[in-house]
Amino acid sequence: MSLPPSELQEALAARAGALLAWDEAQGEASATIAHDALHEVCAWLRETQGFMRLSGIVGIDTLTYPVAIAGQQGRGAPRFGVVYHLAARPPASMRLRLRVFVPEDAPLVPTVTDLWPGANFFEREIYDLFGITFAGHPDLRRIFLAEEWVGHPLRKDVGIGGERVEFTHTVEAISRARRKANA
Amino acid sequence: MRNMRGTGRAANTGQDALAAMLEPGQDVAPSLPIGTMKVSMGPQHPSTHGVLRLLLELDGETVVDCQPEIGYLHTGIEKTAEAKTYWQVVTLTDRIDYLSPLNMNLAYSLAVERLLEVEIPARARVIRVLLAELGRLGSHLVWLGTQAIDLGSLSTFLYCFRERELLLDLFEEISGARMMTSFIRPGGLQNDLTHTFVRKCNELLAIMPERISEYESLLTNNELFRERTVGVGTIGAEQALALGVTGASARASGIDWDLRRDEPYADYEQYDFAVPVRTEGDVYARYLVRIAEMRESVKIVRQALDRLPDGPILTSDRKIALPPREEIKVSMEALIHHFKLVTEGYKPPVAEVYQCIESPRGEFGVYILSDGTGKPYRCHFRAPSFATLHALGPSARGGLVADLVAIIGSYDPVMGEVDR
Amino acid sequence: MGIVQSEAVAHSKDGVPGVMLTRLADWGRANSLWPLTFGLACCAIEMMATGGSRHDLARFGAEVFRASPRQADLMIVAGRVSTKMAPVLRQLYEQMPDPKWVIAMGDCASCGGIFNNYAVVQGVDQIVPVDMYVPGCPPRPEALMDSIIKLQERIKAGAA
Repeated sequence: MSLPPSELQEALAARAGALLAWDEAQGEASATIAHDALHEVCAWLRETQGFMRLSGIVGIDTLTYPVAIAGQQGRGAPRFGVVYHLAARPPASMRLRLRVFVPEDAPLVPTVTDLWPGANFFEREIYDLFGITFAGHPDLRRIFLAEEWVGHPLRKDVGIGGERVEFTHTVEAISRARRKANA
Repeated sequence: MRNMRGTGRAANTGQDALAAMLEPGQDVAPSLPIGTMKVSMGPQHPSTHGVLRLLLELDGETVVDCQPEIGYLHTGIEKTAEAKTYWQVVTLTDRIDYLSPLNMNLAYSLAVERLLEVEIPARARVIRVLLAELGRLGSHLVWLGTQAIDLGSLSTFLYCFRERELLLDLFEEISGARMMTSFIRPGGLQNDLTHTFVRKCNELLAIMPERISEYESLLTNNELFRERTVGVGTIGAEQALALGVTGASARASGIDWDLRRDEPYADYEQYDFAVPVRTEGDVYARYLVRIAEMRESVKIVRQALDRLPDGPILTSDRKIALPPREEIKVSMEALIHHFKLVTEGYKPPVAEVYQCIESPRGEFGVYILSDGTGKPYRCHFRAPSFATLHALGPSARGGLVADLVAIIGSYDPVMGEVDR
Repeated sequence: MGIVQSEAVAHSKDGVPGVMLTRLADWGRANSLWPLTFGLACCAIEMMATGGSRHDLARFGAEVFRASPRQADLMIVAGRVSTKMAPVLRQLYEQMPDPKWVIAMGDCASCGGIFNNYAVVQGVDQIVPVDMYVPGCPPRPEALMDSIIKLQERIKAGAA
């Protein structure tokens, strides 16, 4: 049902302006797709290529990433990436990774919940943790964090949070620090 | 129960109940507040398997809508992983799906090994399969015990935990910890198996098939259990596939897809095991599939024990695995390797990798994006329970609210994995 | 319990019957702790094992896990508490009738454990008063039982 990776690459390249880059590394085929062509490519892969399962969606923030991912980096390059892992049913058992990149000032990706309803929570997760918006999502709101939470914790410019650990065993030093903090 | 179920479904709605109270011909007064009722179930509820919260819309006893609300156990594991070296992340993976920590260790280790392109000794590969299947057995025992409690059978829980303690003894024997073993790690294993482990494991394998039959004798043909599960919470193959349901829950809906067989990892293709599939897609089918899986796991563990080769359990690549203790005392090079590994860890090349395994709950995937430093740039865990929760609403809709606990239990969600 | 307490106060002019009654009440409370079923994460599985066949918490009179906070007097916080869960936890604590006790089971509940990040409350004692901390990740069932026995001793001694 699904084409072998090389033919898949050709078929994707034949779609005008859809395929930005193609790479095969670590035994995995990845296609970088223009974000306005994403929905159409996904629909084609699902309907004709048998990618019936959307394994998952991952958000990435390339802010401090040192090298270019699929030629998408450098000055003025899009900051956020959304990575889709598709799987075709056995016996084909094929896997394909799709990437789209969106800029920081307009982090907008079309939703794929109409193709795979199981994308719902994954897209909400990315919206929650990265602040990437999915256009057309039926119920886009925070999923892990409380509604009143400010910020998106998995962005690279947001710290890990938590408490500073005091590496001291001296009771006097601790109480001195407390007094200072309270004063 | 049967009679109530047979005639009751329609009459259970609030509208009908009200209509039955009225005189014939009398109309329902428009001022009466008739309609659905919104109920919040959880996050503290004995049958939601942790801190799952369900927003229910009920029409009498019938579930009109069921929306899972999650995040009450959000732990920030993915953010924490970015601040840890690769081998420190192993301890975090234990706590994602805390019912099968060994499977989580395995998935993460396989992913890192693919980044590093390192070969693992044969003995370690066999022991990994052995432990992963023991982990599956232990996880399914908790599922069975809790599912039974939800349906009112406390004794099954006690039987299941009797055998689970034996499994935990095995894990403690090799790693020192009952649950959070961190035993499987990139490069191989933390330690070798002991003689006691092999003896105890053989003893467990000898009794396990009989014990599984014992659980079945409590539930499989139990009229009360069947009454609560057959035809309840049904979901079709197409819908389950679209919603991202994986693992035993998907196989109970007729999706014949098992990553151990279809995308083999850790040499699973060398083992002889069956993939149980059913087509009914109800709670009972999910129960039967998991019970059959437990029998298959016992078979795989037996095969692994039989073929256990001799040899090292850790790769000899000193850039990845810690040198043995004796070597550090005599070799300067070993000491340097040890120091470098402990302080900065290994540095995989710039790459990205997605490795998925068949965890007890379905497709557990690890996505690592490496930037060439000692810490993962982005580490994402594709949790099967997280995706499976999509199916909760569709399978609960139209059913009775009392059946909801049976349906939640049958999907076997682990909130640690859902919320990460 | 409220009646017993007020009687104890009423009779405590000469001291003796009041003290006796309080002691009797403490003895009763200590030996019939009703924990709230409050499983959060990994520790909850060990808590289940504690109530399971091998360890059998019933031997110490603390196995009646109640699903409703209004029927429980012991909260075992078993697992990591996220910031989203914290208000729920506080509400559950306030719904429990007095006298009540809290056991922070495991490292996460005690101090945040290995998760020192934005999502996890660094110690449940920031939200509710804790009587007993149990170290371990997760603590063994024996450790949990030990903490319950120690708590019982404190209750009997009138210290908690």
